[in-house]
Amino acid sequence: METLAEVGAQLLSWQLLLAAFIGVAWGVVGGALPGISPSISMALLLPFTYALEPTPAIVLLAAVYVGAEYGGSIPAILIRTPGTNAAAATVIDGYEMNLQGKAGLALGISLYSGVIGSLFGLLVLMLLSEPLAKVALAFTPPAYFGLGVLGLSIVASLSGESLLKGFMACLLGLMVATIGTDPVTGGNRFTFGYPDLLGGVAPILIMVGLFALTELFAQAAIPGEGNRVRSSPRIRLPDWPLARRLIPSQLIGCVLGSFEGVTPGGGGTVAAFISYNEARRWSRHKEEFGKGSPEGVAAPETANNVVAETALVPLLSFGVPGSNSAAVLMGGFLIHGLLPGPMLFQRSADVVYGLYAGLFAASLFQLAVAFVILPTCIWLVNRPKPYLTAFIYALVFSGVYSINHSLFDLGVVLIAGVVGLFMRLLRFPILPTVLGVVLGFMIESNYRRSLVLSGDSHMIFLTDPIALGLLIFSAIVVLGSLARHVYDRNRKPAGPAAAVKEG
Amino acid sequence: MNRRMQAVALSAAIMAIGLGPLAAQTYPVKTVTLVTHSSPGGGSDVFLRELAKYLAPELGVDVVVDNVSGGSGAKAMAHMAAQPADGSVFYATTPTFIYTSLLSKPEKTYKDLEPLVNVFEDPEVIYTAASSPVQTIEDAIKGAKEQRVSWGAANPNSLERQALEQLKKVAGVDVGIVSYEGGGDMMLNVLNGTLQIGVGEIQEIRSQLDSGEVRLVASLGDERLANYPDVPTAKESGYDVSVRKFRGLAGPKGLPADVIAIWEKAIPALLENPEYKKAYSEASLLPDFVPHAEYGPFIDTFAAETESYLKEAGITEQ
Amino acid sequence: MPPLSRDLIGGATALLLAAAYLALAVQIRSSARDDAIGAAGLPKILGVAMLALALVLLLRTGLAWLRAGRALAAPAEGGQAVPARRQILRASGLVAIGILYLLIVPHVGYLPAITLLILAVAAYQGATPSWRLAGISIAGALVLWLFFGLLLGIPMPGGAIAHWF
Repeated sequence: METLAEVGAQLLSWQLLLAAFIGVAWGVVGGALPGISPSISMALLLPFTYALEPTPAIVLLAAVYVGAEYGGSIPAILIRTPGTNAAAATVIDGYEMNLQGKAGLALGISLYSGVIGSLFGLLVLMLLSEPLAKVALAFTPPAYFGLGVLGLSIVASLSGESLLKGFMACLLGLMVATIGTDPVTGGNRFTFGYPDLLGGVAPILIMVGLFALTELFAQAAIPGEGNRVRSSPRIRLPDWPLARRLIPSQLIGCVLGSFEGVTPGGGGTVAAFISYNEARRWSRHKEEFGKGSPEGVAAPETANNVVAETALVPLLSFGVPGSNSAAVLMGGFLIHGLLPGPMLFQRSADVVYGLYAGLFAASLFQLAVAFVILPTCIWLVNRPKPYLTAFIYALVFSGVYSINHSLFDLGVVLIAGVVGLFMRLLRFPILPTVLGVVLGFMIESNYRRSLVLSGDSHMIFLTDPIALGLLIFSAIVVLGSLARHVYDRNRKPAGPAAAVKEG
Repeated sequence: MNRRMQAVALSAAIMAIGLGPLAAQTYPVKTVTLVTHSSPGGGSDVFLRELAKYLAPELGVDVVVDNVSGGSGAKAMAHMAAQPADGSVFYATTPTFIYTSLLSKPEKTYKDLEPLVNVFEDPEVIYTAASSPVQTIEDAIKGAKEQRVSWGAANPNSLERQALEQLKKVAGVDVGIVSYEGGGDMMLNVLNGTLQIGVGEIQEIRSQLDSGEVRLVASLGDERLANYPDVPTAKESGYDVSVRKFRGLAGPKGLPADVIAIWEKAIPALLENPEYKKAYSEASLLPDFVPHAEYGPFIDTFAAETESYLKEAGITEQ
Repeated sequence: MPPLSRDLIGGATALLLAAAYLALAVQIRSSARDDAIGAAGLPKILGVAMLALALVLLLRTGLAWLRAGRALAAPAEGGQAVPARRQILRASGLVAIGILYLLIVPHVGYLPAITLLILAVAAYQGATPSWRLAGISIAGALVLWLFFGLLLGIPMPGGAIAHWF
């Protein structure tokens, strides 16, 4: 209660509110530009915070993070391009809704879920920091391995018509993830002498290529406007019956997002995908998933906004940034002479309360910012197709260049786009590839780290309770989706691949 | 009074007593760009931005920081090699740029740059969780001989890893050396007891040190740390392991002599600046000025040692 | 494309990919710091797994073909309105424009190159060449440059033209 009073008092500072507003606006725009990740948006503002007082500076940066996680869903829905890694799961049903002319509603759902996620995450951050910090501390390498496997376990249910092809697509993603510096020995793998590959291939490059460029390439052959449905440039927040229907999926996003957020390295992407999968499992409208389900937008968008808040737990409790974005925020703390970690509350409680207040304001400001910029975005995607295609192409090339100021990255995206087109023509699902790229490094590095710890004994995965629990859960998920595949096949034996339009 | 105003006031005061800008030698360019391969908020970035704040009045120029990230420094080196050697652009050196040069053999390496001067040493320490029974390196080695333990280093290719491999060798023990994707992840594993000891920079563990959650076991420099005089060096404890994580500057090849002379005066003066001294001492950075004539050979020696270490470990070709 | 030939091509491509990847994986240097798995461990597993799955896919397709040879002659599925060959042809034009952009941008700089990219793609996609098209291309490029170059302060490629200013 004392916390709430302190936070409330901070809300009266106009500097803080202004910082939160500017931060959110900047974040939404940055997140909406493909390639500009939350961490890049934050880093671009970092130099401006030097001149500010510590509290508004920190609030500004944290608000960018909140805004960017929401902003990533805008291009995911409108042009099949995840603006941020964590919006990749939103593409599945969000873009499908857009194709059905329901872009306004999809954007409304993602906004509404984003605000709910942000507020829930903030509450968790304020009230449950301590127990969650214990969870983060209990995560050892075998547990991270388990977490990675859990993420990968949903491949089977994202595979669409053919499990075999799904697994092959996933292997392709895992192969891409082995490019770069070996996590244990430090040697180079598959780098072919390119320094750009030393740090590995950034998942966002593969995502933008596989989702956005592949869509552009595939659309290139469809003359004129095709059977495109125009969306009304009005955002529609869900009405009460729909809002009620979304509650379970949002709850799933809240819970999973809270846990994923506090485990450094887990992050929003995994949270979004797992939430998507669980929302489908528990939904009463399973059949709509993949074909424009509102719950399929709500679950991942809630989860990744929760993560934007709970990712601050390891930063504030241990001074350990759990993600690139948290690392930039940590830079913001350090530059103002503040040291995130166990002593932060004792030394600068006011900054922490200010941060909470700023995050609260930022969560609500998302609404205002969205209502200003979304109509413009929808108007843009309703332009004639040749211009739209050209602009998306240019936008992708500009955004991707901004990540590392590297033309090499543009080449990678282009290749990924071509590979994606062939995968689509040959009916290989691309979501398993995306998951493989996101999770490959985490799984391999923690697997091998665990074996170094145990002296090459696999027992370590059974003796670590968290690892064991996660691995059992993964097994259940895999068996569950296999069972469903078999069940589906037996029900309609003649069905020659009910074209899953996810590819 | 806010921080910036303090700095301005202070530099004005310094000017008044004559320690300020070296008015006798005006710097040949108006703006100095400091390039780092670390992204905003990263180690070298924070170092440069802090330095820039005090450097600007000292040199009487504008100082801006440019982040040329990507390729673990390979891109920054290529960028630097193409810059004019007129004193307008410098690069923040750390062991990373040597590692990258040796490991990935990019087109432009450390050999294409001219080391200017060194500024700091970022001391590396061995630490453990406060609840751990390990008090000295001796305890750690003894523990390692009794049962299997693991030691942690922040990254697979780092000075920290090199230090641990050395320690493993001189102590003749078999331990697992686990590397992470950063010092923070590793520290959590020291705190939860997964790792017996870890090696890192004081900066990364400062918060836990202050709150008493981790304990220093030994420092890895040649001398004890002024801030932690009770912590023995590894050498004192009888283990001949010593690393020096340097933080300095380098420019494109062919820096003019007058520019070098100005920097050689400016950096030692800067290190004496009381305000700056307070800031960097808090961050446990050790002033470690190395003049231009010695810095080149220092970098070459460091590179040669690293190269032979990497070859011995089989990371690069013999 | 009929399902069977689709899987045949997919399986064969995966087989080639797996073989190439494995060939590279066995060359990964072993190091004194290697753990039990080693730097080449996972890549080898992935390569072998891909090889095996590709063979299964090929085998399955082959069996299905034997069982019902007619399937190959079956008409393409209804879902695919545009034949694959045409899709690939049209897409390769877009890819070529992308590659051209990559080639010219270091020389002419961001703003002219991105204007040309928008112009070329829009024309390729069926916009009638006109002053309006040119105007929209320039306006679009300017908006992007405002966002990325000016607002976000990203150093976009300058090119030779930037030196004249």
